[in-house]
Amino acid sequence: MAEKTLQDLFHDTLKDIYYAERKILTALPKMAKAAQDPKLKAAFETHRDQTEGQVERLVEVFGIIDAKPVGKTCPGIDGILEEGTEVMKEFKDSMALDSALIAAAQAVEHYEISRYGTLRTWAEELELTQAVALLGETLDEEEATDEALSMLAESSINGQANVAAE
Amino acid sequence: MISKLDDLFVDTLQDVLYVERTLVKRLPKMAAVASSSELKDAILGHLRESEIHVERLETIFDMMGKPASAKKCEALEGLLKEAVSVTGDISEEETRDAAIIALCQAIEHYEIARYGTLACWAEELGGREIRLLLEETLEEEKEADQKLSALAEGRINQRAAA
Repeated sequence: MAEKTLQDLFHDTLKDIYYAERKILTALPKMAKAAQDPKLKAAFETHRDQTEGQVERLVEVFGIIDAKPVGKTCPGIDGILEEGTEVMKEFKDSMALDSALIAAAQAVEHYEISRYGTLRTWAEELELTQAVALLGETLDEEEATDEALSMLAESSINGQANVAAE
Repeated sequence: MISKLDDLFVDTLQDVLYVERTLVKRLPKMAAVASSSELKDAILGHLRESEIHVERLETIFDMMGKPASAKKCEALEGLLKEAVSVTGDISEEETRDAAIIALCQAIEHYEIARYGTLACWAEELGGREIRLLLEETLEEEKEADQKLSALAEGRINQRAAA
C-alpha cells in the first residue's frame, strides 16, 4: 500500500474544502432569505457571489495538481452547517434570529479560514507557487467576510438592546 | 424577563462548554499520536488551557445563576471524526504531524468563532465581568492557533534548509 504523502494530504483537503464551498453555496441563499436586517441579507448575497468565484479558484488548483475537481464528504463542515440549521429553526420569528445567523456564518468562515490557511502553507511546502497565490486570495476574502460579520454582530446587538430598552 | 437573545447566549455557552470538556478528554490521545516533541508540547499545553477554560465557563454559569450544563456540539464531533479518519490513514510521522496540526487549527478556529460571538454578546447580556472572562479565553485560543501556524511554517523552513 502506498504511503500517504503531503501531496495526498493536500489533495484530500482540497476535496474537503471543495465539498464545503459547494454546500455553503446552497446554504447562503437560505440564510439571506431568513435574515431580517437588509445589511445582513446583502452580506450573505455578496458572499454567495464570492463563493462562486472561490469554487472556480479551487477548480484551478485541482488543475495545477492534475486532479479532477471532486468533493469529499467533510464531517467538519456538515456538523457546523447542521448546527446552523438547528439554530435557525429554534430562533425563527425572534429578534435574535439575525444574531444566530451571524454566529453560524462566522463558525463557517472560521472553518474556511483554517482550511485555506493550511492549504496555502502546504502549497508553499510543495512549491506550488500559483496555488499559493490562488489560495491566499480566497483566504483574504474569508478573513474580510469574517470581519464584516463581526461588525454586523455588534451593530445588531446594539440595535436589539435599544429596542429592548424602549 | 428572559429574551430570546439570552437563550441564544446560554445555548452557545453550553455548546462551548461541551467543546472544552471534550478536548480535555481527547487531547491526551492526540498528543500521544503526534510525533514531534514540539507538537506534543503544544497539544499538552492546550490541554492545560482547556481545563482552565472549563473552570472559567463554570464561573460564568455561576455568575448567571444557571447550572453549568453542556450541550452536544455537532461541529466538534464532525471535526474529531475527521481527525480520527485522516490521521489513522497516515503512517509517515511528519505527514501525520502535518495532518494533526491542520485539524487542531480547525478546532481552534471553531473556538475562536464561538468565543468571539460570546464576547460580543456578553457586554449586553452578561455584563462586563463575563465579557472579560470570555475575552481572556478568546486571546488564549488565538495564541494557540498562532503557535500551531508557527509549527506548520517551521516545517517548511526545515525542509527548505535540508
